[in-house]
Amino acid sequence: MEHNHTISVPNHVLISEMARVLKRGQSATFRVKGRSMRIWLEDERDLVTIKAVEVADIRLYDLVLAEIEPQHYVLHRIIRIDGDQLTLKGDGNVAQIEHCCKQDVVGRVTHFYRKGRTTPESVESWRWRLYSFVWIRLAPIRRYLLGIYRRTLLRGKP
Amino acid sequence: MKLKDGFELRTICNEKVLIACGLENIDFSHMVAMNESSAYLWEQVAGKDFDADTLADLLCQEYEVDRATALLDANKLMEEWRTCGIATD
Repeated sequence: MEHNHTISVPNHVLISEMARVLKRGQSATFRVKGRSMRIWLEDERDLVTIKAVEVADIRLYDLVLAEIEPQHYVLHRIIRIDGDQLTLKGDGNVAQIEHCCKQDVVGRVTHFYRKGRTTPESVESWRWRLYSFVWIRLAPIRRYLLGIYRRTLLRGKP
Repeated sequence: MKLKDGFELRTICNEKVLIACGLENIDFSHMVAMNESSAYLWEQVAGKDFDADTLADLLCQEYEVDRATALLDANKLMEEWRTCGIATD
């Protein structure tokens, strides 16, 4: 008899569960899927912890989990705030941006667990702040930086 | 054997899933999907000390299974729980 088995939980179902947890005031930790938050977060390698955030507390350059279309979620950085409207962009994306409202934000990243580390790294850490400061300003040459990153550090991975 | 604290059995997508739950954080990166019998046993032995005989007894009570098969299953399950890090000796 097979007792424990692997199931595939659709993203929107999992995130609905997370939203429930966040509403109770708890935080949720999950594994990052996708390459759109390179070079800081790598697909299936890193974990992030998110917490609910009050609409009034949403800040520029926050990393948020947001519903950009019904049942379609992204974990991207806020690159522009116009009143209630947010523009999001993954650090690993060159041109693609998304739009949503502040109310569509499910939670804000508070900590990372990168490269298999078990100690959380806060978004208040100097490393994240320095990375954010530099990476945002290097946006015009991001395409080339990502290319170099893929060819050197990832050695040909997609 | 005893189940480790800090796990909660939830139903997601009509599946029984074990999730690591702390007071402040729920870890969705450590989920163990369980079938019906595994979830049943988990609920029955929560907070208690148990061994393969305990699980085999419970399986025989709930399902139409002979004792030898139940014991075999119980041992296999305990090994799986140990490997998943959700129970400890």
